[in-house]
Amino acid sequence: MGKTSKIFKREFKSRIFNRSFIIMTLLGPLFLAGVLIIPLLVEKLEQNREKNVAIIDESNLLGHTIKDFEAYKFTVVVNATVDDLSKDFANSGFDAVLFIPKNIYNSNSVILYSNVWVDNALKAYVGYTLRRDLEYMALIKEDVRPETIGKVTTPVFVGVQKWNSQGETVENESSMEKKNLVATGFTMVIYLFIIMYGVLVLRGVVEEKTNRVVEVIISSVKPVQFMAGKILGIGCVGFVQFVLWVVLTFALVGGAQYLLFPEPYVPAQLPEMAETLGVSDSAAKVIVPEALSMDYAINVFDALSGVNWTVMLLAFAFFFVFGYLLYAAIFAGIGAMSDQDTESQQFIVPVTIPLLLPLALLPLIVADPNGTLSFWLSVIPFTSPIAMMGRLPFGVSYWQVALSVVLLLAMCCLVVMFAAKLYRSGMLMYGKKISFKSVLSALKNSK
Amino acid sequence: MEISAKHIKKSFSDTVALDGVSMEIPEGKIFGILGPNGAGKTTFIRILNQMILPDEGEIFIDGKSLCFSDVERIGYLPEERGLYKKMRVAEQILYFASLKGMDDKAAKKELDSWFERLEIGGWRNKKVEELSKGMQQKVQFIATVLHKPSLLILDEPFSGFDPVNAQIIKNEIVRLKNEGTTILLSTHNMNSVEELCDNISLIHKSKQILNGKVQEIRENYAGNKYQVVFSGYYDKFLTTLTPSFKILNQSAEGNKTIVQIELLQQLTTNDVIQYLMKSGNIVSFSQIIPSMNEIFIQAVQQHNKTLQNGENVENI
Repeated sequence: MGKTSKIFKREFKSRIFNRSFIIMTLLGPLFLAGVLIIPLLVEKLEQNREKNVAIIDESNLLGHTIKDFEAYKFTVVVNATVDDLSKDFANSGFDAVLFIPKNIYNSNSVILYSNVWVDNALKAYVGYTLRRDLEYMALIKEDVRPETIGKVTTPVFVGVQKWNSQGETVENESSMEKKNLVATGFTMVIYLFIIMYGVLVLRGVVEEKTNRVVEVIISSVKPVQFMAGKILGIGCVGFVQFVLWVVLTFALVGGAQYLLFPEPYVPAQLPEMAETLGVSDSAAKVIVPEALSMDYAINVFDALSGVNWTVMLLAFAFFFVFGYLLYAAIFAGIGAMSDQDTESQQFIVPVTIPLLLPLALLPLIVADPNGTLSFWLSVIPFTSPIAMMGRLPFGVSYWQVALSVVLLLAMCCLVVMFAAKLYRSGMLMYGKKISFKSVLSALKNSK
Repeated sequence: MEISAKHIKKSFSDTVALDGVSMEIPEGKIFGILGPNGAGKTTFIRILNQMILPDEGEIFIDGKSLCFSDVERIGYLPEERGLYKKMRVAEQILYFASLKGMDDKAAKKELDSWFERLEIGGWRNKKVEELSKGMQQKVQFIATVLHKPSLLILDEPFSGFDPVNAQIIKNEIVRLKNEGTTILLSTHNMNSVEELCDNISLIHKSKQILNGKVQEIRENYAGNKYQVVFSGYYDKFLTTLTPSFKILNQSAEGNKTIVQIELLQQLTTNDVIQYLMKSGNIVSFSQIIPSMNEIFIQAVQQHNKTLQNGENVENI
């Protein structure tokens, strides 16, 4: 054990104090925090700025029914055409032009012109308002009384609630959305971690083989100790980097949120929009779902509630560690068998396909966390670290978790033993390409 | 450390690397392990280092069966040198010493004395990639010997060194030998074998074909060849020619004549000198002892011939 720890120490120290490690550790959180904060910032700035929308109304009626909405101020421009406004649009003081054609009663369409991408909220709002007016006018024409119209145009909001096996309500729709977010976050982290640090193991092994340090080390240390020290050392470097990323990212996001949004954030659009539209809060949610897209990024912290965190974190720790071990051992074995960086690189993609698969299928897993696909992906050792983390936020029966854990542990032992054998004989083999035959002979010579 | 290897056999999937090789390596001596490329030397060294295990046979160290903790008493300089390019010199040497189980404090002290002796203290904090190849070789050498091994295995220790530095390393090797270290030297440089080795073993095509003390081997190969230098005339010398010796070569240098002869019959050297005295004034008379280089080539060619004959016999 003593020598394993010496290998471990060198791997850890030489990488932790590496310049590129330090830069990556600092840049990572900055990037992540940027991704989370910049949309908020942009939205906040946009919210405070008035946006003027010119209306060219050939119907001479509908334009006046559109009331100001949030930051949008609507002005009906008379005696002008779209062409007039387009000529000197940049200096016109308008951000967009809404063109209502004469034949709107037949065509049911209007056009929004702008030199920037038109906001979904604006599009949805204009669409909804005009639709309401057109419907209203059509119904009046048919002699329907205005009170009746109010009754028949009420949209229906469908709420979704999830029961547990006792029939008690455990969550509603928005908590499901949060769980999606949690599932995505955890699986992404495990995936990135395994790929990044697994490849580091591979490159480290190939490097030692090409610069022939391996011969010196194997004459002092057992190959298994060498491999174990290396995998654990790099794993710990990864863990430290991961913890630093989490802590720094939360600190940055938290700090930015405190500075930019001192008051707890309330999604502004919903109640206001509901009021403007004259419908209930829940109805607005159905009418303008696009307008909600911002909501996800905003509620990063909010999303952290409603999940069984004890199970989640324990499982995360387990799948994080053993998923890494499994793949690191495979990478170490490949590294030991190849003596050129380029040769080993071509194995990265095929090896990581079982990791990529559950990540690509995550929408399916999340949509049906207890389905057949989800079940199998989450118990097969090579896909389970990712798939199980995708299922867990939605609740998985304990026997399935136990099965997944036992299978992963067993596979880990098997692969580590296999890799250790390849390590013993492969590390001293030069000039042979990786092939089924070379692996077999390496296993045979590793007595 | 006294090593005794008994009937070591090792084969890799399709090739036999060692076929029943035995060696007795006495303590405190320099033992040369020689052989053409691919003969099986490196395999033997790796077995000794326990990097690979033999299929058959056993190795004893001081009478006891080889066990893994013995690696700490062995220092190994592989032919293909290997250092971490990004690591600093001192850090790197100390790391390798610690893998050999050396206490950190003792290692630092030892390192200081080596740096001083080889006058390379200035490199202490340089990264290996900043050093020239010869400098890296020196670093590797120190890394091999720092933990004071009882057995030192050196595979081509002089390659990459200029003559001055090669001499420095040679001196260090002799010094270590005088301190009681057993040294196993694998090299193709036959001059250094003659200069340094007490015993040798020659391996060819996985078999041991020559084994013993360097002096004895050379004398065995010497045969009845002599060189005579005399002042006088070659013509006169020819008249003394009898069927009992044959002239191999002759040349003249000023008024001196150098002749190499081979004795064909059982003659004592005194008889020969008596014959020669008649033809001129003898300046020197010496036995021609073949160099290790000649012995190496001769032994390998002979072995090839016997192998061929063996095959022919088998074919019939």
